[in-house]
Amino acid sequence: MPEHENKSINFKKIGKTLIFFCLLAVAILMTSNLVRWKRGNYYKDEFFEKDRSYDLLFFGSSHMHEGVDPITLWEEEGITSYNLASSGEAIQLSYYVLKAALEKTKPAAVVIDTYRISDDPGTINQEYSFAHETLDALPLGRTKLEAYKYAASFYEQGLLSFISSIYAFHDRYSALEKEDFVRQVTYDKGAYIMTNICPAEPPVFYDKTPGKLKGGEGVSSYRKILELCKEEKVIPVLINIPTNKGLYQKSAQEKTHALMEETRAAGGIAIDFDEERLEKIGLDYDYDFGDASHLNLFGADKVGLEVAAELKSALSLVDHRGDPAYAQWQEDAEKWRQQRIELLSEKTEAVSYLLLTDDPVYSQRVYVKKPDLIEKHYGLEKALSVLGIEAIEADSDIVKGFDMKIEIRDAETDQWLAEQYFLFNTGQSQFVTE
Amino acid sequence: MNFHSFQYLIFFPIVSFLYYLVPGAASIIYLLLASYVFYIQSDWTYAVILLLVTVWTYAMGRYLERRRDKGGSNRVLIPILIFTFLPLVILKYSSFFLQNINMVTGRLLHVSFSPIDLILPAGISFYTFQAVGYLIDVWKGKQKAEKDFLCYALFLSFFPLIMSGPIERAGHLIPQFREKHRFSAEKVRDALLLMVWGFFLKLVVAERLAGYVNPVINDYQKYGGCYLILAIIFFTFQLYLDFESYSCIAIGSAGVMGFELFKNFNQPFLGMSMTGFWRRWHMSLTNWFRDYLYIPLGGNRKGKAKQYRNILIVFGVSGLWHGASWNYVVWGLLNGFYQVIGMLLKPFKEKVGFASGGQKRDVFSRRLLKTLCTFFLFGFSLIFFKAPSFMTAIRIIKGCTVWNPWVFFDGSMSALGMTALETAILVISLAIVVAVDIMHEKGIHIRERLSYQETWFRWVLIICAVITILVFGKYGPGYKASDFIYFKF
Repeated sequence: MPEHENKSINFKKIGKTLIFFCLLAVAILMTSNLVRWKRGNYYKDEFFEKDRSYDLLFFGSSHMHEGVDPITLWEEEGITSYNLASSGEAIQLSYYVLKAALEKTKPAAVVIDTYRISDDPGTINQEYSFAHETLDALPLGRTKLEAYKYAASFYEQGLLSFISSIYAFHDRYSALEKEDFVRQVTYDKGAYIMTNICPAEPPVFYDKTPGKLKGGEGVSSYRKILELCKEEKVIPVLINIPTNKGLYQKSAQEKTHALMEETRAAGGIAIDFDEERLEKIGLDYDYDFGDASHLNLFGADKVGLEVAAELKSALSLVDHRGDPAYAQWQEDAEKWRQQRIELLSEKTEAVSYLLLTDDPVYSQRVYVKKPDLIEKHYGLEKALSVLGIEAIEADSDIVKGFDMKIEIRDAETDQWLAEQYFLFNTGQSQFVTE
Repeated sequence: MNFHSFQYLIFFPIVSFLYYLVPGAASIIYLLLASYVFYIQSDWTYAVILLLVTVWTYAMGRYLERRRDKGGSNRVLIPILIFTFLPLVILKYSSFFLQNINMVTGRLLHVSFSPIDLILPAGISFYTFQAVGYLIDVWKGKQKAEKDFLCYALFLSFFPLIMSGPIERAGHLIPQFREKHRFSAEKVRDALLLMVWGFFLKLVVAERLAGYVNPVINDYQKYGGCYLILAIIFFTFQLYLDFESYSCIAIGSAGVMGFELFKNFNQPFLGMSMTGFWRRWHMSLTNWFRDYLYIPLGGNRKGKAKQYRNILIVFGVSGLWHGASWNYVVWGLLNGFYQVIGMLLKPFKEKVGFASGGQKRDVFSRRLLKTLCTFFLFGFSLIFFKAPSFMTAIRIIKGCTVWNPWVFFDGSMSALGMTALETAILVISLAIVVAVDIMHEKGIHIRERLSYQETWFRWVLIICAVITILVFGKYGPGYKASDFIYFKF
């Protein structure tokens, strides 16, 4: 065989080998994405994949994630925003999320919650899997690698476990759900708004003397954020999302005031949810929380709209509603409305079920076998009163052997949309599906 | 460095890729350096001991050849062998000897010696045996003393086999070092497939079995009856698959660079007698004992009684080789006794029709019964192998007699991680292992058959295999993968 023929055979083999390894790499990447820790959430993926412009971006931990609803901000104020906060997110990692976000888009301002700005040295204090949730959706690139390298220095699992989800989470095979295989597109603009009601203990407010910052890891990261905002010409906004007494004690308040002072000095805005402001917005610690420390939709609406109002005037933000260039935002809001009806089937508790339909486009009918049980379910009376519903006493035929039936209809056409049956669980003192 | 470590996944492709680029004359130095880099990852002192053993046995090989040519007697060889065994004996067995001396002196003289804590270099049992085999072969004229020190050093330190064998022979391996292997896509593919199979055996099956076996055996007082019986059956599979996986990765690693190493296993659990089983189990060690201990003791040439004695000596020493503890000796002797009893019962079995031979007797049910008997006899002996001491082994045997078969049905097993999904993965994996062994036994070579298939089919199969290992394998952060069991020997 002539020599050139030999060479062509070798090239063919090399080519085939390369194709094989490419296919193998694709298969590994796909599997890696499948087993990735995501708790069914793709909201950060959505943000980084879509080319949109925003007025505001929100960063922080669960307090922020559950504390500001961009859909409400759009529908009430015409402000475009996205909530990029995630559970347990330490400010050190928020810095990288913000950096990646600013590489993608330039909002008028970025809003950051004080809660996870730790002043302790040498710690990140964020659960390992939550660190993945914070960073995994960041687009491939230098910022993501920097973020992984930084995060890996705090976890014994090491850099490899961050770079390769399959290495870190392959044993999730026993916990895979439909959401892992089928990507669920959500239109909630990143927020996770709680729809249940739980009382929270109000904090005691002290005077506003700023504390002395030690310059711990979290504070250093926040200062890096201020620098980054300056470079990118984006206004930093620091807020203290309302939480309970235990999480907002004197030391936390002193830290908050010191950080707010630094923010203002850096040309940023600080919105202090102090006693006066809480009174102004009418935050009710009995009904505006979804659990002991996180706001529910009532609280989130009050806080979110207050932030929007402040920033709208301070930054001269324009109401985009009616602007054809922003038609997609209205479409998304409509889609989120439809999606909420689909999400009803996941709600197992009556208050949560009802409040998910807190929207004038829906009408709710509540049938109950024993109306005196309503007052025993914490928050149910409040939910009924806010939604303007009068519970109807019904016999067993209507509630089909259960204790309660909730029916959701279209307010305009009276078309049936969804229904759910509940039993009264005496142990939990709640109307629940099981 | 473990074969299933991330470091090896980096080290191996680089070393094997560069091997083909290094000029022929430098390939021995290159592989020697790579092997020491590999070995030094465990501990640099290990490498020093290996180097000392290498220098000593290299020099003694040359010396023995000269003495043999002058017609020396075995009196020359024996002190050299004793001295060669010395590092192994001191480092591995001194604590064991002291314990036993203390037992005697403590009772009789009320004197005891404090135990000494010595390092035990990884692979020392393997390379010492390899070196001793080489010296005996040189003495007997079967092997020329190696003149090239680097080549000899590579023979003892070659990274695919330094940790746990296979125990090679100089006549088989050294000539391969002298050849410069040309890259062969087919051979590399075949070797990589063998490695993939090895990783499957280790990470998906053996480690999964270990997840059940270790907690049950370590806490044997809590678990009795069926828990323990299942743990022993699982351990029997685990030991085989763990060592077979190591051997596959070792042979595959060498194969990628064109080297051929001895096979260690030949479907051992399809053996139908203990003698047959031992011809298939850890063959490189069994053959070593046959050639360098059993035959020199007289083998089967000096009558039945001496043959039985020789079998028991070989298996007793083999037990001791595995670990410096009486339970290993008991394990070895028990396997020796199985064979002796088998030989003694042979005439009786012939009479009642249990022995092999004859067309009618060679039916599936008979073969299955004999295979199962062999499996369970070996599994029973492994209680002494797995237990940390002889008395613990006895307690485990007692624990097996507890009657609790309901634990298979009332969900108790799930507390030990045996959920429905985990059980399904394990059962399917073991079924694949058994099926592959049966196919090999029937002469069906899967990798060879696979090479005849169309490219797309091969690719799909290989990609599925890799993904299966990556997803269902037991590894990753938070998971402390156990070393290969034979590393500690």
